[in-house]
Amino acid sequence: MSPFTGGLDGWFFIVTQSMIVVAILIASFRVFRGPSLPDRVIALDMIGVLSVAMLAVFAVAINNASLLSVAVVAALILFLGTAAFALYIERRGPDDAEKAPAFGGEKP
Amino acid sequence: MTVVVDWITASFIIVGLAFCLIASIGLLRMPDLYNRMQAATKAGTLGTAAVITGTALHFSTSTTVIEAGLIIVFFFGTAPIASHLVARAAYGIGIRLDDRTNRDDLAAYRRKQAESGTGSSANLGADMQSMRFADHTGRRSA
Repeated sequence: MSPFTGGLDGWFFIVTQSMIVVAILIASFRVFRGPSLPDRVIALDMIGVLSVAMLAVFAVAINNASLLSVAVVAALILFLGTAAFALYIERRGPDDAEKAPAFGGEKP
Repeated sequence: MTVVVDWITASFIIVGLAFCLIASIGLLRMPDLYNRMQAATKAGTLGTAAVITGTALHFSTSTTVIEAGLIIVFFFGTAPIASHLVARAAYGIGIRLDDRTNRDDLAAYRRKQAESGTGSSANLGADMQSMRFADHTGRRSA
């Protein structure tokens, strides 16, 4: 018996989507709590990767291959967003939460 | 036969999602930014690649396999670049490493720069820029 028989109501879709949702919830906790901006950027990148995986699983569950094109575009846009955030972080410099770390100096 | 292929597909997808879940847990539990970054990048990329491979196995048409290969190539090509960019920017603005880290190759350079008075913690990003140029020429341009 195939694991995909139930479609959107089968166990396969329920299990896989709930794994992705738990992973996204954990990553979004890091987005809200992350002490610095790069932490949030990394967690947002992780959420984007997980949403690409979610699109792929959804394409399998509804048996529709055209959703994979959406996943290609999402993967591309994800890289552009992260690279733009990295340039922004580098240009902005440290904010109050990240200030005065003084590499090699005394710890605060 | 198709049932066997379906089970192989399902196991690919579930194993890949387990990797993604572990990557998220690493994002939550790791002590500093750089450890979190390598957890999310490596395990997340590998897990998503496994999920996409399972999807390509499921459809098994030529366009689907090409699209899945494109996604995997994009991820394996761009995820290290993106995380390297974010890590360099984070080091440049002074995100601290965890105290248990026992090797920081850039620390000696930064200490020398701080002692010579050219670098202040107010514009670490600009110092990072000059450091990048110094890497190209072998000595500091300023």
